[in-house]
Amino acid sequence: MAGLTSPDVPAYVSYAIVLIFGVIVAWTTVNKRLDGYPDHWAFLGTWALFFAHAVLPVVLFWFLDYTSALHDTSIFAALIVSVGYRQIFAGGVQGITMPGQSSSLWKPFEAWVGTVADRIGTKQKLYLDRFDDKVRSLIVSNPQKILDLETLVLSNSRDVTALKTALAGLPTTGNADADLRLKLNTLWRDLRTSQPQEYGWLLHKRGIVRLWSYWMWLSNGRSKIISRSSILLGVLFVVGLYMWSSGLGEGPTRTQTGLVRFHQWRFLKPNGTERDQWRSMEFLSDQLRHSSAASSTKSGEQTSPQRKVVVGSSGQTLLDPLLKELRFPSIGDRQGRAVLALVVNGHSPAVDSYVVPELIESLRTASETVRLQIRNALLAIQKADYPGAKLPDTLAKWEPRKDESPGDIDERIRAWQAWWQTAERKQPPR
Amino acid sequence: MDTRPQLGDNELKVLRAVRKSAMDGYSLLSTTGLDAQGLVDTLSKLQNVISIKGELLKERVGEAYVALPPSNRGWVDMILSSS
Repeated sequence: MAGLTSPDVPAYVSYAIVLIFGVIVAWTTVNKRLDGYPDHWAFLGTWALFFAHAVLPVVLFWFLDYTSALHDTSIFAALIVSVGYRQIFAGGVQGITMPGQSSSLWKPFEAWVGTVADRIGTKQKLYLDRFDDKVRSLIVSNPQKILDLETLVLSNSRDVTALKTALAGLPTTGNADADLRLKLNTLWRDLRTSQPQEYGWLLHKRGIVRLWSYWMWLSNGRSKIISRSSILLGVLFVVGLYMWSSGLGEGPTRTQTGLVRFHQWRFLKPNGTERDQWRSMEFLSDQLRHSSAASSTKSGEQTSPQRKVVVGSSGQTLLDPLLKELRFPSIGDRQGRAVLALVVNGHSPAVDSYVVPELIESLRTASETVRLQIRNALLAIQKADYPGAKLPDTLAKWEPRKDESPGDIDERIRAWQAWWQTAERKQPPR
Repeated sequence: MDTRPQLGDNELKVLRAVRKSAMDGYSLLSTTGLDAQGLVDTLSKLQNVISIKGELLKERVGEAYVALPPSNRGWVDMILSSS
């Protein structure tokens, strides 16, 4: 997608676009692929195919972002993937290339469509056979229905003379039941041949078959029931999911917790856009500010309901996964800087109480660049919140180097820890 | 090796019918105007192209269920458009 400038939106918006358009495309694709099979929505296989087609672009979108083929915050990329995922698999979209042999993943999908179609054919025949069998059993057990059927067939036959000849020529077996079945078979075959589409309706009109049986087996009844039940289940699932994520009672809702986790993920994402990281920085800074304000509220004082909604989670929960990342040896320079900018911008004694010990411990990281950034962050926090607790010269003038031994680093860490104990005592968190 | 058959009028009639929709043998007899034996012969020739559920016997061909698999639709479209 190089060279294509697109509006940059939060990733969940892009994923929602991919899912919504993916569902529409999946619906039309499945209908198109199975349009030769009447009632195809009456089969579980069709629904499985539909869900797979709907989810596939979402997975592909994530995968292409993961491999840096596109950004998952791009509206244009979302639209192209959701509408043209088949072309992407075929390598027909310029600028989006599937890595390695992954384009061959489409082939099993094609084979699956064929399997589902074949199964539908088998089931369709089974249902027609069952309907025939049911109706014929019903007729053969009721002499009045035999007479009704004979009248119906004679009045609808394409070739009455041939039918009469066939009936007259039926062999006599000496068994009344067998003779009756032979007659029924001849009448049935003529009716099916003369009225291949309308025979079910005619049987119903003549009172031989109930409306329910006709509707169920020959008038898309099963398809209608299964389609509407599936749609209803889908709607109930979405409503249930919304209610579950909204949550009830005290504390942050699942949506709010999910939003925090989402922004933590975006914040550390190595190949995210600048704007995407900035959005997460804004969100997390805002949460951190509210978290500090909430923790500095005097005991007994109530926070407003609106504030409680915004705070969502404690500062420690917010920062812990980000601070841990500083210890990862291969953390990207951009990620390291962003994490440290967040904690320095959100500094306050309340936040420092868990950030500073984490930062000091993170000085053990193998990267001297990150070590330098952490040291700078610690200096900034000391100047801002603990000016009365002077740093010893060994720390103030320390410049992390590449060739520092673990022993040297450990010595600095112990010195920082000693300083922190003094600083905390002198100016305890408010 | 292409195992697809050389197509005559009857085969084309059947393909046209099942391209629109899968159907049972009775409907196919009615749509194509073939007699039962003619349909059995035609379906036998098209076995590699279409899906046939049921027996290819003159007395039972009406109960067969005939469909065009999605994988062969492109080829059939090409044949029908050039015929």
